[in-house]
Amino acid sequence: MSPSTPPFRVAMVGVGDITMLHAPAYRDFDLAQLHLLCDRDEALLARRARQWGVARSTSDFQQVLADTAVDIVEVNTPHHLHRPMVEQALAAGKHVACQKPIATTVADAEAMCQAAEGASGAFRVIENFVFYPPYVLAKQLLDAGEIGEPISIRFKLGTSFFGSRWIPLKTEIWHLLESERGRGQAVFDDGYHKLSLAIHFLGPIASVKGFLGRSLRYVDEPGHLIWRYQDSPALGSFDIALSPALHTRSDYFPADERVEIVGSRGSLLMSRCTGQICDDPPLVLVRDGRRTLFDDLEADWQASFTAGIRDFPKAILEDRQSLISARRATDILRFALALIMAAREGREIIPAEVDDERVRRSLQRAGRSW
Amino acid sequence: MRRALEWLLLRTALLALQLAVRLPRPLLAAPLSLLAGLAGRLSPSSQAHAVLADLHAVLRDDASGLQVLRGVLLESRAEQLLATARGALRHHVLPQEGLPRPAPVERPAKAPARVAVLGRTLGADLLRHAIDGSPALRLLTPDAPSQPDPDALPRDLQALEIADPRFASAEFVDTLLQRGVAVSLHQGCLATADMLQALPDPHAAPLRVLCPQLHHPPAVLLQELLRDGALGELASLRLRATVGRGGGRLPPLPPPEREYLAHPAFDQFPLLIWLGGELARLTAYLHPMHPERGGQGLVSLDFAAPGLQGLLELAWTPQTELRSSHRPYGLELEVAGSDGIAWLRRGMAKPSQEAPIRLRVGRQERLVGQGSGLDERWRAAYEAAARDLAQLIRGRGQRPLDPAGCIKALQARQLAERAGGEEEVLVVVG
Repeated sequence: MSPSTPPFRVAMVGVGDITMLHAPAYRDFDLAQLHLLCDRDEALLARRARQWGVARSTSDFQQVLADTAVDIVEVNTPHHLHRPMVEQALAAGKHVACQKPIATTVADAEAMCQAAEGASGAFRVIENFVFYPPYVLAKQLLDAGEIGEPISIRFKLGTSFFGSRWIPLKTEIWHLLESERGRGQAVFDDGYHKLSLAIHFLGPIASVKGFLGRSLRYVDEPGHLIWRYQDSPALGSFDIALSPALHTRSDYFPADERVEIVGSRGSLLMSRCTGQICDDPPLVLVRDGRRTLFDDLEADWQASFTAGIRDFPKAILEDRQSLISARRATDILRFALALIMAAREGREIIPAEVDDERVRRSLQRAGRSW
Repeated sequence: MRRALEWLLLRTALLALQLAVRLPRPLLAAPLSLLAGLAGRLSPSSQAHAVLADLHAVLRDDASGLQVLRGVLLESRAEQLLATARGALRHHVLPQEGLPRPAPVERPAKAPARVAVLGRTLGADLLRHAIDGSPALRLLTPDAPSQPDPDALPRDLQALEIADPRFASAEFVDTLLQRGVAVSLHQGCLATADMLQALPDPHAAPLRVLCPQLHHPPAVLLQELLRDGALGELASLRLRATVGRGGGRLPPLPPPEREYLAHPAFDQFPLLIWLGGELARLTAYLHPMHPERGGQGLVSLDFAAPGLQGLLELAWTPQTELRSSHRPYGLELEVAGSDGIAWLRRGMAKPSQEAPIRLRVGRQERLVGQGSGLDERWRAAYEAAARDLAQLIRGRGQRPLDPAGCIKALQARQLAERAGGEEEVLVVVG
C-alpha cells in the first residue's frame, strides 16, 4: 500500500463532464492534490490537464496502477467499467473513490464490496448529495428530533431543457442510450442521488411499488414511486416530471430537486440542489405553526462536491468510512433496480431480493436488453 | 384561431424534421456545418453557436447521435413533441400570455328556490349559512325527520341537500327525484358507489354530489388554468392531505386506524379526477394511523391520459398545528406539466401565509393571492356550492364532476383501500 501521509496524490481516471465539479475540490486543499489524469480521449485529457494545471497525464490505466506516487485513484469512467478498475486499483494498494452509481449489475457491486472489504486501501463511492449543506443540516435537525417522529419523506425531480449551461450532447446521448439498457437517468443514474438520500435519512428500504413512464422515447419520466422502510414507520415517495419548457436556473443541470420530510411535530422542506426554480431558502423548518428559514446556508451545488471529495482524505486519516460505503452503494443500486422492476412488472418488489437474473427477466418482459 | 395556426405550424415543422432526420448522416451534417459556421461568424460566444457546433460534431462523428435524434423525432409520442415545441415557442420565443380570470358570479334567479338541508355536520352548517345568504335560494328549516321519509319533508321543497349518511339511500333519493325535487348529496355521505349506481339513469330531476373542494375558488382557478393549457400537457399531479392536531376553530376528526380514505380530509379522489381525468391504474402503501404517533398513506396513480401520473399523500400529524377557520385539514397540490409547475396551497386550512396559487411557467413566476380578487376562504367553497345549487334547480350550468364522475371517484377510493394490501398494481375498471 502507498504511504498514507498528506497531501495525498490523486489520479483521476476518466475526466468527463462531471469531473469539472470534482477538480475544484482539490484546489487550495492541504490533504490531497491532483497528481495524474487518465482518459482514453487524448484531446479531452490535454484540455483538462491545461484547465486544471496538472502536469502528468496518460491514456493508459496500467500506468496509473504502476505509479507508486499515486495514493488515491478516483474512478470516474462509464458505470460498466467501474468494477475492473476498482478491483485493480484496490489490488494495487491504492485508496479508491468511485463515482456513483457503483455499478450496473448487482454482481459487479457485490464483487466490489468484497474487494473493498479485503483491501488494504480505503474505498468509497462518491455520491455528493449527502454532503450538500442544506441536506447535512436537515439530517442534523431530523436526528435531533426537531420534527418529531418521521412520517414521510418525499423526493421530487423535475427536469427541463432551459435555464442551465449547454450540456455536451455526447454526455446526453450516452445517458439516453443507457436508458435503452433499462438504466434511465431519472431513476438509475441521477435518481441514485435521491435514493441515496432516502436511505441516508431514514434507513434501509423494505419494499417498493409505483409507476414509471417514458417521455420523448428515451426519458424515464414521469414517475411516481413509493416505498416502505424496514426500521421506520415512515413511507417514502419519489415523483418525477418532465417540464421541458420550464426555465430552471442552474449552473449545472436544469433539475428542480425538492425534498420534504414530514414528522409528527413538523416538517423540513429543502427546495434547492442542482437547480433552482423559486426564490425560497434552501431549507425551511416548519414547526408549531412557525416557519424557520435557513437563508444563511451555502446552497451552491458545487459545495456538495467540494465537501464530498474532501471528506475522503480526511476519512483515511481518521480511519473511518467516508460516505458512502460499498455496501450502502450496493443497497442503493438494489433500491434503484427494484423501483425500475416494480414499475415494469406492476407489482411490489423487495430490494433485498433483487439479483441480476431477476432484473434481466424483468427488463426482458418489458422488451429491453440488459 | 391563433392556437389553431400555432398547431398547424408546429405540426408542419415536426413533419419536416421527421422527414429530414431520415436523410443519411452526411446530408444532415452538411447544412448544420454551414449553420454552425454562420453562427460562429456572427456571434462566436453565443449559445446558438455552441448548440449548432455540438450538434454538427455529434452528427459528423458519432453514429449513435443520429440514432438518438431519429429515436426522439420518430418514436416519441407526437403530442408530447408538439407540447414540448409549443412550450418552447410560447415561453422562450413569443411574448408572454396573461392568466385567465376566475369565472364571473352567476346572476340570481327571480324567485328564490326553496331548499332544505339534512344533517348537522360542519359541511351542512356551512351550506345552510351559504344558502341563507344567497338571493337565489330560500332555506327551509323543517323538523329533521328521524328516518328517510319523503313525506316528512315540505311539499313545496325544490331541492334537498343530504349531509347525513342515514338519508343517503337510493330509495329515498329516487322518490325525491321522481317528485321533481333536485337532490344534492354531500360527498361524505357516500361510503361506496353502490347507492349512486342503484339510481335509475337518467334521473327524473337534477342530481349532484357536492364535493366542496371542487367549488373552492383557488381550486376552481387552478382547474381553469389547467383546462386552458397554462402548464401545457400535464405530467404529474401530486396531492398531500394532512390532518393536524389543532390550529382550527374545531378539533380534527381523528382518522380511523385503518380504512381511512373516506375521512373528509383524505377523500380527494374527486379532486384528482376533476383535474386529471379518469384513472387507469393505482397502487398504494397505507400504514395504520396511530392516534398518538400519526401515520401515513401513499397512493400512486396512473391516469388514463397518456403521460400523466399522480400521487396522493395522506398524513395524520397529531402534534402539528394547522391554522384553520374550521378544522385543521391541510391540502397542498402540485401539478407539473410540459411548460411548468403550479401549486395550490389552500384547502380548509391555511397553514402558511403564502399565496394560495403559485405558478412557475416558462421564465415566469406568478403568485395569485392578495390583490388578485381570489377568495381563499373555505366558506367561499360553500357559497359557490350554493350558487351551483341554484343553477342545478333551474337545470342550468355544469357541475365540476357529474354523478358518473363521482362514481368513478368512489370506485377509485375503494380500489385504493384494497391496493394497500395488494402486491400487484390494481387496474381501475372504467
